[in-house]
Amino acid sequence: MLISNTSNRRSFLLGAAATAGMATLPTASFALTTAGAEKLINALTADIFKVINSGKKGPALYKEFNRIFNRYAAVSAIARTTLGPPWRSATNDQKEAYVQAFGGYLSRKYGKRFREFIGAEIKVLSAKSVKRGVLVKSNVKLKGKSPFVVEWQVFDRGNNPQMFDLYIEGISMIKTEREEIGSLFDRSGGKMDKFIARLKNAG
Amino acid sequence: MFFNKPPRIGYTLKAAGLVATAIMLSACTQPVSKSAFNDPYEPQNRKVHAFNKGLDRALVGPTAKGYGFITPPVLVNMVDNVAGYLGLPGQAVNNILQNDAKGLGQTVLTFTLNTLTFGLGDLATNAGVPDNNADFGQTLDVWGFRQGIYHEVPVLGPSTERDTIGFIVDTALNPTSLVVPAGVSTGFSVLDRLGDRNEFSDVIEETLYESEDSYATARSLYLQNRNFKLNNGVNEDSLEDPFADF
Repeated sequence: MLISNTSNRRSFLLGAAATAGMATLPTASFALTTAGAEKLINALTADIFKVINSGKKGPALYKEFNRIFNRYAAVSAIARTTLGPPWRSATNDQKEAYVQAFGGYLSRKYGKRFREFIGAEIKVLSAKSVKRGVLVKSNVKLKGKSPFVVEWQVFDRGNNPQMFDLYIEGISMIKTEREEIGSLFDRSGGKMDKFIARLKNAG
Repeated sequence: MFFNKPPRIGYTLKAAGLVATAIMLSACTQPVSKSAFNDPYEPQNRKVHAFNKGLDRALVGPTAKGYGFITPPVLVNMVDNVAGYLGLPGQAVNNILQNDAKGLGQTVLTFTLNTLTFGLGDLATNAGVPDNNADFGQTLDVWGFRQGIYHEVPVLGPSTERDTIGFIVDTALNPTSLVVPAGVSTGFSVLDRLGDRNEFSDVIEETLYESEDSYATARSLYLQNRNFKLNNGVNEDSLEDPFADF
């Protein structure tokens, strides 16, 4: 391949496929299968429940969450997409610091609510190929509450399926965090270092 | 069933009349959106949001917690079920207006099963009958009306032009009011909302009192969830792009 950067090449291919009106083409040409995506989500949720049921709490629990997050999710793609345009003007060091702070922030934020997930049940229902990866549909039942739908967007990063976004009753983690992260960035006067420092304590 | 052909036509005509009025009323809006959302009246909406937040802090939140505290969970559950049950005839009308035979089948089955418990239980959900929650805002969407501007309604919270019109039509033309006094239905739906406020207090309070910008968060959550319901799932075109370039 002439273009060495994987993500550039892929976005080019995606664009080309879409232009040609062959939105289903990526399914055939990429390694990511619906079965592979389902497997990823099953492994991811099994790990989460293992940690929740381990009895760990506080920072020890957040650390475990962060480990799972880094293992199964495309943390840097998620962090970049959530931040949007300010990403472009950041230095490489800032980018790295931000991605790391972002992982910690999400782990704390979701880790704090782990109690809600004790005794929960999750069932993967189906998976379908879409333009931007595979959408895995699951049903989650928390103790004493009505069941709700969680959809997981999985994409292929160089033959390595990774979780990108999740949608709880249609509410996207990335879109929702974009509001939070955007407000935090604005409140930091649009200054990257100040924003990263604040993010390290947020969540 | 109380929605045979004649009431349906009457309902459609009345609904069309209300919609026409509402559209004339909203015709003066000039969308000049600055954000990614169609929210030209953001400054005014933020004032309403501040009011709603104050109302929640001072009245709705504490009342909901009081209600949840003094009422046995079994009873809270029954109230939820009755409120849902009283909404089913209106839901069926919307299934019909949307020409949705499958949805109508679900609604009729839910109504039939739950009638066995006088509306106090929810046999249908336990039996796995899907809940389609059809409303008139959704009907307008099916008919091709645009979502219109986002706004936050005093007391009721986030909405869009189309959903507010839908809410008014659903409330004004609720077929249940032919059998049950409107006050009873309203009473149950208020209690139902208090029950929800109590059940989901964690996530509601996180949104209102802990997020960086509760107005923007509430707007985003509402529109995302609403589009999910209108689309019967996540809209594939709205998925984030993992390879987006900024």
